[in-house]
Amino acid sequence: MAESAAGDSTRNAAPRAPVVAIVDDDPAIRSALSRLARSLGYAPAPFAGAEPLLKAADDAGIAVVVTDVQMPGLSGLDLLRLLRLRRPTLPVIVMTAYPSEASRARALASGAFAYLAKPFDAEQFEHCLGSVLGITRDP
Amino acid sequence: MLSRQTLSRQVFSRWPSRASASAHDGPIGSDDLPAWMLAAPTGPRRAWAAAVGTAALLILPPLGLAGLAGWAAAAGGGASAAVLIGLALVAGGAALALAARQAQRHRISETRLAAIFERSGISMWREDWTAAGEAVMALRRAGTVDIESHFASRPEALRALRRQVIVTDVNGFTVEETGASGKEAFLGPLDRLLPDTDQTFVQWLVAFGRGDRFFRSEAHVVRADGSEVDMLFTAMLPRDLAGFSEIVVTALDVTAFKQAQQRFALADTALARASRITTVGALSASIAHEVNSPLAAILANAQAAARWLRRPVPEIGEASAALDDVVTEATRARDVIARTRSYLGNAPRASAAVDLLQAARDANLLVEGELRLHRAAVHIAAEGDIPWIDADAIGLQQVFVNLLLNAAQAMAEGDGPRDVTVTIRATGDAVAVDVSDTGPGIAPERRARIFEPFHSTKAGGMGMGLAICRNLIDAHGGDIWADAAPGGGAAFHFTLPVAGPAHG
Repeated sequence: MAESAAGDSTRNAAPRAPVVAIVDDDPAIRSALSRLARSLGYAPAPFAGAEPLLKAADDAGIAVVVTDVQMPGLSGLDLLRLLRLRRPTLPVIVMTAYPSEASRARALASGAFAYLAKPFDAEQFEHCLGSVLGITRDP
Repeated sequence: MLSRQTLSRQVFSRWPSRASASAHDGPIGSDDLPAWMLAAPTGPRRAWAAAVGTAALLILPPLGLAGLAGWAAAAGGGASAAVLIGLALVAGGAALALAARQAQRHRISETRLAAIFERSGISMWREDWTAAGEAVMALRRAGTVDIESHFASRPEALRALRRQVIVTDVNGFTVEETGASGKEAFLGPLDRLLPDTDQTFVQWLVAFGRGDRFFRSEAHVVRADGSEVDMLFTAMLPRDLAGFSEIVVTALDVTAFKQAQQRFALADTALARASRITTVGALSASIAHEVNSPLAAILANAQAAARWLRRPVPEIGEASAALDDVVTEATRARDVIARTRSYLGNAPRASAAVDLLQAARDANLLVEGELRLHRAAVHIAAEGDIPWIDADAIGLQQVFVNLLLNAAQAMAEGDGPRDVTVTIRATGDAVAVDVSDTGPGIAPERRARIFEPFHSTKAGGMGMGLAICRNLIDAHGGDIWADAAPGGGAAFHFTLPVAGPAHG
């Protein structure tokens, strides 16, 4: 379930800022990435897991999904595969606190747009979101 | 305070068990020489005396009768004198017949003994240990009680003595079993057959010095073709010095048994290592996850805060909330580390009375294969009585394993003798252990750093061995350090308080 409506989070962003769904079971990560996304001019939509996102995916106007891998219930990779079937055009960025070559390969083979190892810095996040959405921003 | 007095009296035999491999007459003290050193000499002179005695007994009755006849003749009794002379002749003849029969019986029993020796279905060796017996007797007479320690610090003297043990004969079975060309393959100095990695020779001397009745040990010997076989040697030990010229030793080839045992042990270690790696892998994965998550939140919050503050109109509220979260997440990361340390560091250790000499010997057995592979000869000795210490036996065994392996690996390149000497001694309220080798040694400037984790000089080494040693010794309230051995190799020293680590 989304913690806040995408619309509410857009107050500090430019009008019609792209909605970035942030899927992580860790509330600290959700809030930190939401804050960072907002500071970068995006409209964050935090979700506590894959299931709440799947429920909201069709009507939340989500432009890109950033999902953790290790989560209770459906994993980030499960979510990635389901989204590839249901919303093949929706880009998915996979992030993990325990990166490995194997999981990176699996994520990219399943169609992930990018694979981020936690902790990552704002520039990586910004570059990643910018290139997936075709936006080039001034630093 | 417990003492290892009684244990130190046992011969180090590796099969079938380390305990009670020999029997001996009661406890011995410094001025209490074993019985064989005090026994009156036997040998050729005695045998001759016995033979003369027997002959005398056989000859005397006829002589007596003859004397009696002479006396009767002198007394004028011709008839009785004749009877007595006849009797003397008969008796003399009987005596001669008896002596001949005894000689024949003796020959038969000699032949039978020879046949038993030759045809027994077990390998038998006749060995001349006179030089070794004399050396041990001289040491004991000079007041040296601890033969093992004496030779632990004199490996060259031990080698010299080994060269003086001569195999004088082996039986037919030995030749058959080994497929040797003949007995000559075995005859000569024992030195040719015992490789330099042998650890059992000194135990013979220990058994001699203690006055053991029999001896059993497992040694590996080199065959003529260069291959090594494991043999279980058993012998009754002589009751006097003369007996040392011919000790009959039986030998059983236990190579296949040992190989099976080693395969089991190897499978066991491989399994243990695999499960340890899996555990460490799972643990590091979970630590990575637990620490990377708060770090990710810290980084994102800190950079978001910086961005809010650098805006033309700084967003103080957003920045302040982000910084609050930085503090929360940094605290979380700190707690993860603290939890991990307490989980790993305070794992309850089994503490019990530990015999350090036994721990050293157990460790030696554990890595026997690897030591042999590196051709390292290990000498373990305790100086005097070592008090048992309150400690984690497995941990201390691990310390010995690491130090022994390090020493063996350090000497692997050299051409000289490869001796690892472990000396254990009591120093008041602590026990001190020295492990020295004859390798290239450690440069003085490196001696402090070698105990740091991930400091490795070996290809493929993790550099954890000595760090683990230091942690274990630290946990026991002891000290560990390295310097140079008298011969130039490396020497590792550690001390452990007898009372165990201080609590509180």
